[in-house]
Amino acid sequence: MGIRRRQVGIAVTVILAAVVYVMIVGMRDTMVYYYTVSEIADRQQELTGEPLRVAGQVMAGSIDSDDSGLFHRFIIEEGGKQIPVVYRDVVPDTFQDEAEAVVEGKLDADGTFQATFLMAKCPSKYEAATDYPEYREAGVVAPAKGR
Amino acid sequence: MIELGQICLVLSLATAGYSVAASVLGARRQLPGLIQSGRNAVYATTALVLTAGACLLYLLATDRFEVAYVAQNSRAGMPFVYKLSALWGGMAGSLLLWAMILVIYSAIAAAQNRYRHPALMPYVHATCMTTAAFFVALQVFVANPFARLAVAPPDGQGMNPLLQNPAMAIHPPNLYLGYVGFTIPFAFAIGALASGRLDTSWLHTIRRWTIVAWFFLSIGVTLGAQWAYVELGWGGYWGWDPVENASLMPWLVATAYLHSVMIEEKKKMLRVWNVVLIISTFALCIFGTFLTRSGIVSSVHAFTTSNLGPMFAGFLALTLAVGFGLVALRLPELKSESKLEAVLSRESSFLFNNLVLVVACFAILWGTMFPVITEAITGTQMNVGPPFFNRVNVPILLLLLLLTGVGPLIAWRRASWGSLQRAFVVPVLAGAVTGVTFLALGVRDFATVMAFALSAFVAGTIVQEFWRGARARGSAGGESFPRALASLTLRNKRRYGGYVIHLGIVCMAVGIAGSSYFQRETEATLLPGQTVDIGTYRLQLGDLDVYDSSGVQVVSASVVAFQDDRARFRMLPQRHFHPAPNNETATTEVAIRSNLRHDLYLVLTGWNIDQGSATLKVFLNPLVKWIWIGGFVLLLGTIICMWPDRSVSAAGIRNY
Repeated sequence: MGIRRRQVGIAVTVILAAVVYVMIVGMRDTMVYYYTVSEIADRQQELTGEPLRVAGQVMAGSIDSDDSGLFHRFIIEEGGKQIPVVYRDVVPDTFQDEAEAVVEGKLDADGTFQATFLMAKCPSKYEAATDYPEYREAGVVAPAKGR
Repeated sequence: MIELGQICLVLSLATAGYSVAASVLGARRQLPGLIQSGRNAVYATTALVLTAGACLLYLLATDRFEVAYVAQNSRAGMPFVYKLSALWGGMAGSLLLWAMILVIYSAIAAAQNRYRHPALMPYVHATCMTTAAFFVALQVFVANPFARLAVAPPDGQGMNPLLQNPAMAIHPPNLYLGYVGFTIPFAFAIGALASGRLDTSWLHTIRRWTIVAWFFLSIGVTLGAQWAYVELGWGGYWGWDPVENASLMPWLVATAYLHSVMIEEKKKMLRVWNVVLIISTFALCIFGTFLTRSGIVSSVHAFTTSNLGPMFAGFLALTLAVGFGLVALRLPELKSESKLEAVLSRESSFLFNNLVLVVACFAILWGTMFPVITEAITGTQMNVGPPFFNRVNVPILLLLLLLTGVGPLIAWRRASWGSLQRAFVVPVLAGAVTGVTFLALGVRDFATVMAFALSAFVAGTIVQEFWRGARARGSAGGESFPRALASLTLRNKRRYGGYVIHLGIVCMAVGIAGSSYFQRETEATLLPGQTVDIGTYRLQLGDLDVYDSSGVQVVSASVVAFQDDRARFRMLPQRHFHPAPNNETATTEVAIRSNLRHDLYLVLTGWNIDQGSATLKVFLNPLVKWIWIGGFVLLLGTIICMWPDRSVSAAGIRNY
């Protein structure tokens, strides 16, 4: 009986060890540093060429897309700093002026962020609960245009 | 109405609190009157919360924009159905929906069991009402659905057009029916632990609850994937987004529980483990709700950071403390006498099944929380994305697939070599042949070959089980094969329904493997008449149209697909521009042509109206339809499992 239970124990340990190993290797190979725009702007030299993930806001009016919809330039800003971004794929529907965006990719030598991944936040489904006091103060939702 | 809703919410907090106090006190002091009172308070809370919900629905339906929530989530010009679905479109309303479903479930559980489990039920009520009180408290103190604006705006902000379609409208209630459903098994687990009545009778009672909750969660996960595929236009169906993961994690642990509980019922083993699984499932549901609303990890599902986060964290901590604390307390009574006897046995297979599912859940949890963990430990936030999740989960889930074939057929206690041969020769052959075939076709990706080989293996075991079972019935009872199949299934719903569920999983595995490895992609900017090739298709751009459709501006590209130089069908990838009140919202309308072999998936990414040119991104996604078919088969199997036995309903609830 004892021998067989030890066999089960060994099998369990092997499986767990294998999974932990795969996880460690997976992390090592795929993890990216996550910075805000202002954090990157301060450390631009050392971060050039490193896989990075950057969060910020799309600067209003900065989106420049070509006709194909597969090449986009825009500026991501946060904390007073700005970084130009180039993205060569279809953008999500939520990508627009002042959208909160997260990009993943690398900074190139001239300080442009070459993005391989772009995520823009859905128009909020859930407002911050703290909006309510301001809401009440401001009092009005922007009226609908031409209705 | 506004005041009524507000008052009902506040009152329900009181009745829920009273229910908790009365139930626990009544149970500790053995006072049936107090227990009864506690149960009545459950019904009262239910009535109050539902009334509050009805009030909010009324306010939404009648365009009462002086209510902040209505102004933020609804608009006068919206279709009526979506005004109602705005109930769960925003934070406060979704919390109210959570509470509504919870109280309905609590009331049903209370009524169903009013003559049963007398020692447990007070604690069940207390647990349900504590949870309900939490969600109501969030609304009363933080995110109030009935908050008013100082000045009533003339119109509301409306709902994002992406959410204004039937599948998306039904998605949250669907998911909540799943998430919230796991509260009841959790409540019973707490009840059993708190009362010390640790025999298996309560397992029977929660069996249907667990399966129903699992059923809705499965629908929720699958529909979410399908919606992402059809609506978002990136050619895939699962992005390992934190909110997606939040729905998958409790599903994995609940699946583990659904399996290991069978061992507990048969062999009285794994009792501690099962209770831990139930507590973990519920904790993961709360955690998922927390993740979705707190904004601690960035997600496509934009939920701005709110101060709900700490309250959820607190409730989660309470849940874990009480749950595991009670387990620790009752540990001596929970330990079982039976022990695992062999590696090759059904008990072991189920144990490995559990291990694999729990480990997968852990890996997903780790990856999802990685930014938070790394920031807490190192001060710098780090992320892992789909590559991590895919690399880690693929081997885990392949192992799970293997177990899906082995588990149901392997003998209990200790499988002899002879029994293994009898059970597995044909399926192993099927798997081997499939594997070799794919290798011969030139596929060199180990995971893909294994996925198909294992799928064939598992399908083989299932077909074999039905075949042998029906044959045995047929020869014994003289039934024809189809009838024998039917009666076999209906007599052993859990077993054969389970096989059907597994068959659904196999279909999904095939679909996932096919669409991952064999996916093809291309892009082209075309003038009218020009073509682009993908697979066996030649796609020719026709006209680029711009027109208005009930206020929505549509840009539509007409694309004709040719195969073997013959025109087969036309597809219309489009972009829609919705006139939202504040800024225009654009949606991508993907064109999909789907058959069993593959999906042809067209996205209109850009255009030039003057030239009439269009840029298309084209995907050829093999076998995707099998994912949805698999989902459907899974649901069918679950319905078979859930179907009540005739003898039970005839005897009435008492013999449940």
